[in-house]
Amino acid sequence: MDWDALRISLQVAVTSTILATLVGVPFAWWLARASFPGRGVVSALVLAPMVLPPTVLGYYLLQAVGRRSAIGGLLDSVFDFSFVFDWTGAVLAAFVVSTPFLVRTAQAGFESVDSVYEEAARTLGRSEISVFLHVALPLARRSVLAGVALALARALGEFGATLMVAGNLPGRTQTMSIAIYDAMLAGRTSDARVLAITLTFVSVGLLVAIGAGASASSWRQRS
Amino acid sequence: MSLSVDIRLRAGGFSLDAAFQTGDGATAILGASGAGKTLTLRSIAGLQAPVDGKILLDGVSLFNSTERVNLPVRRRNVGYLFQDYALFPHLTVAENIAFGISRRTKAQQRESVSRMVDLLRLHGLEERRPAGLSGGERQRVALGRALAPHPDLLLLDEPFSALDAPSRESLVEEFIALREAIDVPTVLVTHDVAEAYALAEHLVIMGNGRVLQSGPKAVVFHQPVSPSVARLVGVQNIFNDVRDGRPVVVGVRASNMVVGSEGEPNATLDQTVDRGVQLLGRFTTDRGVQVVAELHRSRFADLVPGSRRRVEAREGTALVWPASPGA
Repeated sequence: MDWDALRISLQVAVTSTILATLVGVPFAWWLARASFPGRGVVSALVLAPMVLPPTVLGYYLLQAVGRRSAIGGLLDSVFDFSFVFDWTGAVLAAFVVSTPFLVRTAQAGFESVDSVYEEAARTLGRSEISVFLHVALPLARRSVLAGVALALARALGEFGATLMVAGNLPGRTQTMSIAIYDAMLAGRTSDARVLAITLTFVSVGLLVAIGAGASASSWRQRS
Repeated sequence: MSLSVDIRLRAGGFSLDAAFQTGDGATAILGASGAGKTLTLRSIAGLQAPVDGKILLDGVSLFNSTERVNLPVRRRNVGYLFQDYALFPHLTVAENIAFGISRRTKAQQRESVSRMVDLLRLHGLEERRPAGLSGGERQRVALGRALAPHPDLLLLDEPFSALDAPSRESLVEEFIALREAIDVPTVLVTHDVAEAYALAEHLVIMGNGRVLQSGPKAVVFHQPVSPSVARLVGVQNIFNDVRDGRPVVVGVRASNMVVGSEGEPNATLDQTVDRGVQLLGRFTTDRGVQVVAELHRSRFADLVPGSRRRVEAREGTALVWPASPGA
């Protein structure tokens, strides 16, 4: 029983969630506030990964970044880099699968905050970045943190798309979820049990930590 | 200061076409709800982009559709008091006030905040959050927040409508005093004629997305150009009549209706309406016109419905407009 799988799982899930937060939260704000024709279509497209089976997503990702694809070929020839059979591939898979959960939750949070606060900040001379960081984000903080927690949980549990893109290389791309499957397949049921219980505790522990962070940073809402 | 507005815009099914200029001091945009007052104010602040037209503040173009100028909100240096104040709920009173001056040094910010706290009597509330403030306190914090960056123009959207009557009256007086301390050109939006008259030197009367009349308040108040303006500046009696053989519309304030005990009675009292400070009588004249007249409490306290009295407009106070078709 070695603990590489736990290390890889955490590394992949945390990296993917950081990326999802950096990209997804500003994007969710933009989606919540923008008004343009086709906004509904964009909103729906963002959610597509939530309804597609992970293996189908994995298949498309492989088509997109595999060595024989345009992007994959370019990355390979210029940087000698490939997502395929690499832990970064697992990050890519987790990112694509988990970001919609974050965007959806955060977008609902931003939409529930009256945009008048953001207008007030603009009349007080603040730039859009400042409006986002100092007004929109703190006011939608609970939903944003809930979205981050969901994305992290989803990334930790990612299986199908990860297996398709990064494969199952112990010590390199084998995450906890895949290691459990691998152990069961090989008849190492006690290993599978230990891994499953560990993943349960890690997931719940991370969510509790984020929940604690959310309530510590909360303030009394206007009555 | 001079603010010149000439804009057109559409929002939903509503179309706004507003043009007016203001002089020194405060200007009140007065109109019923849905007249386009707030939309006009938002356009001046840059929160709403007109389809075309121009907005000039002291010769500087804030918006000009032909020259493709549309200064972003943050560069207009305009203070805006929102109807529900929009104080940041996650920040303290002091942080709210300092929000628009974050580029200054900490020392300058502290000085500015304490000046606003003095001016607006917010002592002891600096560390509170908006949730722990009364309506009047919130309004003053919002005002301090808008004034701290020294705006070129202060815009107030229904500044007193969220308050109850007692705090409202004292705040209006306080606000007049404040305007003497801080000399900033102001445009305010209100549906209350008394508020507009007390706070502003100029009136812009709006109805249905159009400017019906604008000018010095005494002119607009005493010489409304049309019956609809008259109604908005508080002329209660507006009825059709015939003068010199021509159909006209006549307007008379209730305070200019004289109810006499002598003379041939020409009207019957329907009911008296006691407004506390004011006693009003609703009469129907023998020609079938309903009029409202202010009654002297000492002389008419015992007047009962059905009483016959002579009711006429005080000499020279009737406003007369030519009858327009459909008016």
